[in-house]
Amino acid sequence: MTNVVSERARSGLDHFLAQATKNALVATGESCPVTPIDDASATEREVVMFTVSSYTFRILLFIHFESNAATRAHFGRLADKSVDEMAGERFLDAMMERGNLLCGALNRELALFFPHIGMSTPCILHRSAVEHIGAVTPAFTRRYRAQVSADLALRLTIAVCAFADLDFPFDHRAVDETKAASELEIF
Amino acid sequence: MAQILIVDDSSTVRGEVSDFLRKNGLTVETAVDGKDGLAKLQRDPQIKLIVSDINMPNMDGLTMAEKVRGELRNTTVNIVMLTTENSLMMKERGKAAGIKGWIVKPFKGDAVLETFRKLAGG
Repeated sequence: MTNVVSERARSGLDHFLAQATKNALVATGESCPVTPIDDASATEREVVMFTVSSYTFRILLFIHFESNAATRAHFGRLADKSVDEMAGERFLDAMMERGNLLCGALNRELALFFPHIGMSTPCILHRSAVEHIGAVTPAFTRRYRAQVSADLALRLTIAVCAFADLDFPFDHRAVDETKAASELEIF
Repeated sequence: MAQILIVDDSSTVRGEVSDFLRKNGLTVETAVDGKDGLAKLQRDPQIKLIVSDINMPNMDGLTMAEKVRGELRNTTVNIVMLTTENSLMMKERGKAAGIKGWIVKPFKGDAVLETFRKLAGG
């Protein structure tokens, strides 16, 4: 029997991902339109992969990227580093950390509905790994285009493996959640 | 000898946080995961403040905090988590391990510098 990801859960994931992308992959105050796309052909050579898991689902999140000058320049700007400094392992680590912020935001939003939830550490994979998404039989897959700057668009893919029907009452909480980030809560 | 220990598996975060704190006159050591953090704290017991991620390979930050208080019997070092996590369950676990504070990433140094100075005894 195939488990179902409800329409409102899909809308919720769309919204959470768009908000998380804007908060993680561009500087504060900059726009970052995130739009669903149908094109399944990924030309980018690498992906950063994360998972967010609960008892009833696992979400695989992929950020597709190329180690080219435009991408390195964009992530260099975010880290206050030049494009030449943003190379090799330093660039890959910066990609993983920005992806970590994105996935963390998604994880926090879903934790409001699913208290027993956790996210993975990042993993850099070759794009060919994503071709095997079908092997985990996701109930729902969606691809997005994130325009992170005038020169750079990044592709994102989420695949939801549902171990039971997935539904949650999404209500635009993502906007309020970002206000808590970066503040020091003292106990 | 360092005042502050930064524990994170991301070299980007270690670099960003330690560069900021050093620029503001604090002495800093770094570690790549909880296991490395424990080793560095044992080698330098003068460390006054640990700023640690949670999700790391080898040993996560909350387990490290529990071992700082338990196995190392260090009840005085201040521990602040710097993490993408924000769950009540994790915060309760952290409080039970005697952590002092919690920051949801991204790190914004200006917002926390004075508090870090006080916690680091500087």
